[in-house]
Amino acid sequence: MASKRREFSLLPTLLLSLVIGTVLGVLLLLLFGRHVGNPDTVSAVNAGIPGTTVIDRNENTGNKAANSSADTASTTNTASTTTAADGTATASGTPATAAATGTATADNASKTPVEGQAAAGSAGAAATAAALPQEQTVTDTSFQGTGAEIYVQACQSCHMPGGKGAKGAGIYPALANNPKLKAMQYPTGMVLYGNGGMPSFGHYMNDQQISEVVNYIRTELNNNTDKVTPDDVKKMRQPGQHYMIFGEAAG
Amino acid sequence: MGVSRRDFLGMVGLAGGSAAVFQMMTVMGLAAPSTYKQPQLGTGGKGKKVLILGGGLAGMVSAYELNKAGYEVEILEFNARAGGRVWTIRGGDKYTELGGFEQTCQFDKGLYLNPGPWRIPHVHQAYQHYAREFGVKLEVFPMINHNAYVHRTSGVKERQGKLMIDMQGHVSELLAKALSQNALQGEMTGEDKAKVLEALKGWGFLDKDYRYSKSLATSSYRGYDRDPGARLEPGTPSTPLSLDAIVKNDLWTDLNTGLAYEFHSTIFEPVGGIDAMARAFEARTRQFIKYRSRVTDIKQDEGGVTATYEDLTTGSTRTARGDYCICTIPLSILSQIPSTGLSPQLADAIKKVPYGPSFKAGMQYKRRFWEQDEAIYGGVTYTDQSMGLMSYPANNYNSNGKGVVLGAYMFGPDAVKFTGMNPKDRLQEVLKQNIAIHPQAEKEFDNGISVGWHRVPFTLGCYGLYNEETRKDIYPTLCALDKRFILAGEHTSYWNAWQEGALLAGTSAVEIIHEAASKA
Repeated sequence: MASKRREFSLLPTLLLSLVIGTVLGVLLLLLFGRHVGNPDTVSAVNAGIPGTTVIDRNENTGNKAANSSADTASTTNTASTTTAADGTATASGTPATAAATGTATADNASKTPVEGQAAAGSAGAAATAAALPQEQTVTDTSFQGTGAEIYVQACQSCHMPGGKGAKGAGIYPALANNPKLKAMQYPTGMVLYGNGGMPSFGHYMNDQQISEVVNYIRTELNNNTDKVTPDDVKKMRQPGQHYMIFGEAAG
Repeated sequence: MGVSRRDFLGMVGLAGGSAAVFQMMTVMGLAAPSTYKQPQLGTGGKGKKVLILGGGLAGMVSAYELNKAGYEVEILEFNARAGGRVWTIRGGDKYTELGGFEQTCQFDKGLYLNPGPWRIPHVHQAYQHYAREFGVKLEVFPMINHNAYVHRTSGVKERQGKLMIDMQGHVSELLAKALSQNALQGEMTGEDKAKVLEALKGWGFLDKDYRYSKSLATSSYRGYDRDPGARLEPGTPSTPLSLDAIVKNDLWTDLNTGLAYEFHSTIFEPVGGIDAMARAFEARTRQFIKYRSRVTDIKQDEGGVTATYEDLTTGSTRTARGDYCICTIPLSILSQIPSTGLSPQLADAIKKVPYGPSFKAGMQYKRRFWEQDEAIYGGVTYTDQSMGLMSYPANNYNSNGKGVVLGAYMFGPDAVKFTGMNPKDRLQEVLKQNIAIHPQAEKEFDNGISVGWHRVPFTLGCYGLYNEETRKDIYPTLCALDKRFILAGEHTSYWNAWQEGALLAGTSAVEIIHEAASKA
């Protein structure tokens, strides 16, 4: 019943709608078209193109954290950077901030100054600066104590108590009685830089701590007698190295 | 003539139907900026086979979409179940982690821990698409709960809503003061200044003198010492926290977490456990899955890809072959699997992605004291203790039974440390920290279960870690098709550790493979 009446008026309505729609479409495009460009800007930014600032989604998906080294390098960082509406970021504030190429956005793990991650670089505030990265400062409060104690805190999660290793879909190599550990450079390099799925601990331990844990692994879990000194470790640190940060949130 | 955007879209709808509206909305920048696109493969897959390594979300969505297009698919999965990290632990479930540490979950019926992903942003449109298609029921996850706490070991425990409002009030007052004293000269003209002052007054809950002060009016935002009631009770005003107290303890830092894009309302969880999406995909792809298959070798040649695998049920060695291969095995494991025929660049890049640590503990308490004593219904409390945060169940509110909270959610070195502890010690430490926030926890603790992701046999870690350099140097290689072989998973996305990353990576892999197969 009612449908008949509707049918009668359908064609003029359609035509009118099309005309008005086209006119308004052009108008609204002029008004709002600016937004359309945003995703491009962001993807270019995400690609890490030099010279642009980086809003990095990478390891930190819970918060938009960039995992660049410099973000966590400065504990005095006040992160007074701002993200402009068009997806690019500008930096202001302390020189330390301006030197950062990516600012950590903190979750619970990364917000504590102890982690070397400035409290101010807080969650959600993806803010960056376009400048040269500065030397990364090592955080040495995450793992503490003797070599044996650091082993328990940092290594045991994968290499297991006593260094016995484990096997699932992949393996964690046993560190006990492992002939590969004869050369002290091998385990030292592993701790500093990681390998494959193993994260680097170069950011989270100082030279003394690395030497102690390597000595524990080489002499207590193996029968080597020579010791690694903090100076040996220092020599293996490449200048300008950006050690991976893993103190951030995910989904 | 005052046509609103909505009216205009209505007109477009009348003229061209909903597709036209969506297209117009996209042009106007109103529609969701999601990068999800449903694969449109037609029926071109007949007579071709795609071998899929890994039966998590990326693998299953690939199989599901390819199968629709006529491709033959086969999935090799390490576990006896599909879903990978999309995993829910319930009462009765036994979990043996690497190193042989065994836990049996003792939660009551209906209670669970999602050790991996647990929240579904509305932003994640690939997920929302499949939730609609499969009828996966979602319930709201209150990401921001004004009544949950910010806790500090220094002894601070403040409700987030009060903190947020106090911070807003103080900042507004300061700015209003600066404006009134012409401290921002040159920043704005007189007219703008008046406008901004007016805005600060309203936005910052300021009084007539532009002060953020203790009053009934302020309390109507931040809450009262004693609420308004019946008869002669207008409410007793509460005292705002000082800006100093907020800044000194970095209390504000946790307020921003919920403002992250992916946490914008509305954010969900699947009813009954995060594995709902995995189960929905598994129901549609089960016939293609070879469970308990451990891939031991991958070989690409001119005509296809062959995977050698150990059948963990029988112990026998078998092979599977496809014209193409979508490999979703986490790089932490793939980097250990011998391969031939991959480009040297890809083989090298696979070995350069460390996996991030993460740790969770589910704590069952005998009663829901957070609701009954503290009026906290769902949401997240943040603390500077290593436990990181506590999240309260976002379902079955006011139930008189037991409740399971997420008692710890850690990343970074803390997660490494807790993963290295034995399950009993972990719970003891988590409980101690829970008690520091909720003293009732001591008496009400029932049992718990914990998962440290580096001890999970099928991933050896939580998610692919990148930094600016690796995103630039190796990530593009990991994302590219290598002749007949392509990687997919959260590690080939910018949504690392989210289900969305796996779904987007899977559906885009399918498009890329289909394009290659169509040209061949």
